[in-house]
Amino acid sequence: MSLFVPEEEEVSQNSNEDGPRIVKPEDPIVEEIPLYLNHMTDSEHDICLFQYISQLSSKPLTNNKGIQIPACRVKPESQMVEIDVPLDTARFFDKQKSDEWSTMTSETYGGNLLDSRGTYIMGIQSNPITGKREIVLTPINKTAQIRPVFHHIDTHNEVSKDGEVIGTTVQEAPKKAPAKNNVQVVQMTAKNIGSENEIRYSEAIQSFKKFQSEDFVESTWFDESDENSTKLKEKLYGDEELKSKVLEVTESEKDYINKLLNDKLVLR
Amino acid sequence: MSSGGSGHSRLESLNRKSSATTGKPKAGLKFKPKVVARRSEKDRASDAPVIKDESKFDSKGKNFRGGRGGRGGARGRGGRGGMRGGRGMVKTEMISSGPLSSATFTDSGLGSTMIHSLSPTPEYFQSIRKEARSRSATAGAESDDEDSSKIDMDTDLNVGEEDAFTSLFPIRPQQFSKLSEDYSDEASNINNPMEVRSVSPESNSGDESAKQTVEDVDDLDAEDSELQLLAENIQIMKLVEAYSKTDKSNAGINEESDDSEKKDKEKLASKSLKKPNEEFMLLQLPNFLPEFKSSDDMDIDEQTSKEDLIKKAATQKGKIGTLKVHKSGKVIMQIGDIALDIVKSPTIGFLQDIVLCDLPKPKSKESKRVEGDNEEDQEPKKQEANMFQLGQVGHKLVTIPHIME
Repeated sequence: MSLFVPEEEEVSQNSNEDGPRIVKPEDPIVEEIPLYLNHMTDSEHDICLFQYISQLSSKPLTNNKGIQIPACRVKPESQMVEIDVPLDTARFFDKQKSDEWSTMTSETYGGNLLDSRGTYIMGIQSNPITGKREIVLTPINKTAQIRPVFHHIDTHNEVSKDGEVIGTTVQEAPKKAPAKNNVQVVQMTAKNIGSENEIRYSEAIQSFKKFQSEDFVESTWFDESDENSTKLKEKLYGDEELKSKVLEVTESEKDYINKLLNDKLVLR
Repeated sequence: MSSGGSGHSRLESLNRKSSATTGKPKAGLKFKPKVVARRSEKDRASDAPVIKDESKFDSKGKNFRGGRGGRGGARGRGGRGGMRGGRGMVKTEMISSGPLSSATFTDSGLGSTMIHSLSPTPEYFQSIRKEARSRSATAGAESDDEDSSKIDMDTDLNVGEEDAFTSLFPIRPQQFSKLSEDYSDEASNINNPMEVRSVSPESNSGDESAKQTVEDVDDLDAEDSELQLLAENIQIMKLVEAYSKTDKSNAGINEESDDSEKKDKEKLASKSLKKPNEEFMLLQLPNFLPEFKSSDDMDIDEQTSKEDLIKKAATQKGKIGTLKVHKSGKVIMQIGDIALDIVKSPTIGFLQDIVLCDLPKPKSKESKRVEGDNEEDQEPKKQEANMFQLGQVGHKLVTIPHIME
């Protein structure tokens, strides 16, 4: 009995003191992996995180999986992105409806690029000379939630209203259809809503106006297996020059954490 | 023995009866009346429509009785026959006269309640069936010939939500059964990420040892939450290993691997659809990092304005700290004096791509005016945008500063 009692006490003490974290007094450091901060050299380039909310992570949109993105387009000023993804017409495909909507061969996903802070890509690599691991952190500048966009329905509605057989193009449709409604919204919100909301809504409306007035720029999609993409991917693992530099922290932990606590979260 | 003999005689007699008419079962009545009476109470009102439903599915499948038996057995609803009432009475009486009579009866009661809870109203099904009939009639020979492939489609469509699914789009979403399978695969992989993410034949052989330790720990998880945390900590390093870029030149760094381990790895590699280095791991740091001074421009920093400092912060490059891996598996990020705990974030089921967007520069107001004056909109045609898909996001780690202290 005497043997068991102290053991139990030790266990309970440990769990009380440590809480969720495991802090053992003797827990030697086994490995130290250097961390490098990286930036993509061109300021024109934005590293973006596209979150396809409706797509499974097990089914990426890559050539490897037999998916070739036929087209994508951007509105650079309003930071809108659209990607066409080919449809699998072999299964569960309703030809009638597809024909109704002027024969669809691809579905369109779209989203708004928003500024992002604090998320980094980890480029983990073993140093070819020393054989030790190194981690290069490259910040993600922008995040976009990419959702299905139903241009074909807008087009269809427009066509049926006008009574024409062949209506406007896919790109023109979304500009016109919602525009009528939206002008009214501008007037309503500006008059009725209080100061804080007024600013918020007016910004939203402005950005929406901007979006409507701007034309899409057709852009080229490079699959991850493309040479250009693989070259750029290499940059995420840093280069010799990066690894020769050292950045010294000028703040103490207290100052830094105080700053963090006082930081107003900018939700954009 | 005697009971068995009697059973045979009864079955024979019942067979004759069943083949003839439903009125005859009265002959073997001695034990039955109670059973029949109870069934009829429950079944008359509720179960009759359900029977019709299944009989039609069966009729499509051509094997009338075989189909029934298979369903009943597979779903564990022993009392199927009993539930059917009406036409099914013939069969149920046969069962009830045998030694299993009481059992089937009680089961049938449970079965009927099950069906009620699972299925919509019988009228709903009937309406659906009507639709299905009219469709199959119009479809003609095709639907009859390709029963095996089309039945799935029909039953799917029978749910009656075809319009709901395709009202916005000509393609129906993937079936939930498939989704759940995929997701469960994913989920099982999360527990042992190495098994899937890792391991091309050239990758570091240290993977295997790490995996073993974690598996060992996994066994003890239920017993000790502390060990569970430890396992999570080890998983962080497992992830780091899994996501490290594999180079052929690095193949021989860890020399612990045995032949058996190599074989296992090759198997795993063949199973894994993606090489780990085609996916990226993300790291969530606080909104901003501490201020840095690079060794190159110490003097300039003191003179420059805040704006310049901010600009510099966006372009500063170099070593900022270390990732300290403890023996227990705990991983801490050390940036100067600042220590941050690292935790694995929950895995996300949806697809995330890292894309490098090379967008045309947004025009300034001045350039717009100039453009307007020129009338000819040549600039938009010159604009080019490129999007480079760099890879998918696999896992994410989150750093936590020590705020409490």
